[in-house]
Amino acid sequence: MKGFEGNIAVVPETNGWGSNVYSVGNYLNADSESLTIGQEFKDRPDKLVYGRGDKPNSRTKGAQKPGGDVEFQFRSDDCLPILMAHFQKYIGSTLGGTATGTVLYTFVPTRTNPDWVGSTFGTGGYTSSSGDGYTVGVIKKFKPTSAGTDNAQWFSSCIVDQLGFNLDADEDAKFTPSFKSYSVDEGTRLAVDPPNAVFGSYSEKSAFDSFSGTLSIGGKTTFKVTSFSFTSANNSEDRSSIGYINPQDYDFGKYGLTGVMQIDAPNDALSHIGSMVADKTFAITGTLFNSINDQVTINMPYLRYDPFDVNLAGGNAQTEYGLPFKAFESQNGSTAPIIIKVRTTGMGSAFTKS
Amino acid sequence: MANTELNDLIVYIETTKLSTISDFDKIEYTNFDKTPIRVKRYGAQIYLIPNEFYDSERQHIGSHLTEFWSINVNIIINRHFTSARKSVSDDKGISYWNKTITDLLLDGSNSGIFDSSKWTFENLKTETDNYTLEGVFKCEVFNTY
Repeated sequence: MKGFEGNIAVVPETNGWGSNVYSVGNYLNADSESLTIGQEFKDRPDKLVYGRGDKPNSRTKGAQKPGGDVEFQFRSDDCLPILMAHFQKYIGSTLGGTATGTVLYTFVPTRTNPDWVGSTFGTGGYTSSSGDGYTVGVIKKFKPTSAGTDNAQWFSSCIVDQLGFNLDADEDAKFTPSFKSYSVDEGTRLAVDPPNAVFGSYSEKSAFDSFSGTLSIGGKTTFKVTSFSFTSANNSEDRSSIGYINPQDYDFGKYGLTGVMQIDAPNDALSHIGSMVADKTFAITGTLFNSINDQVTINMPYLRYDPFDVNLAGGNAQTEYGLPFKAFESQNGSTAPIIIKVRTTGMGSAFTKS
Repeated sequence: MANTELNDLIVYIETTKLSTISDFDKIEYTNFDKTPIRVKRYGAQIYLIPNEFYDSERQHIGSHLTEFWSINVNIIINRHFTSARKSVSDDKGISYWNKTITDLLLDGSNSGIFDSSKWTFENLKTETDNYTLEGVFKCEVFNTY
């Protein structure tokens, strides 16, 4: 089976954690995936059982920890449910806005754990209380024609534990969400291919190419940046409970955001070392712009450098160095470490594709 | 900073650099014509080779292009040397001109109009009492559009 015979869809879930009540979403322009059931089989050769051969009954099954990564080339509409499943906080009063016209969607990390029951998702400002866990379903579908049937793995009620962002020069911008799922149905037969009225379709909006981006670093837009990446992490914990094969929740740990940008050294590159030693705060604002109604802005207002060196390259070689950074919230706790704004059209309430 | 254009580079080579060499009696830009120019004693010829003088890559995030220019710069020596060995070792012979032009055009950033540059000696053409050091000035330019 070739890769093109499969597909990966993400559908918003409207009733929250554990419900698997879904609405129309998007198929992803995926580059790679590592979705697995995450079940461990443990052989027990130390059991005192007669005979040299292991007995199959001695083998035990562990709990399931379904999920995995999907790297995909995102659009301004298909990333929305994934951003909400990661950050769990939508700034605004009406979750996801309306289906008509252009809507500005703003996401920040939730400050405390979401509730793992209910469907009153996190809205309001950064400092307002957390809502209930917003989840998505992730469907990996194969279509082996020889079997004559369609089949799929359906990862229901996924949160996005980590969200990787990567933008390399001359490449397309990519998100890599690390999904953690409530349960997986490993053999669902699905007869629908994209597009369809059940799961949706591929986005018709443009990808974000590297040349559609601008980066303001510490208020300067003159840096020659060759790559920019960060990982936003909820640091949720995998736990198993007696009586359940599925995880009952994924309690979030401390929020963390680290990243690195690779830049060509300017003449004053060593001054960055001074900023690093002084532990100065700086901001990055990155914009991916296709049109006024189709853009993504990433703002990290309270960054600090992690340690780095600037070493000269050869006489005729470009001196490059990586600037590693870490994001913080403001000292008074009123401003988020990262604010992502997406402006797009064609989405309905709770990030359902209309 | 304004974008660096082809003309800026040729002016840099022709006026800023080569014209500082008092030995040259002629410095001429001949467009795509690489027929050697006639000089009294020493001279330089600048020209472009179609389809070879420009390339670009997207190396940086944003609406930037890293552009690679290749501008042919030949040095012409029109004089009689008493021996073939002397044509190389003379204090204004082939060895001298190779070193002088390499020094002159290596990594001059011309106040930042390009990121790196060098002149590379590629071929030597000889006729009776006439020597042409064929070389290419290559540079990298970062432009925003």
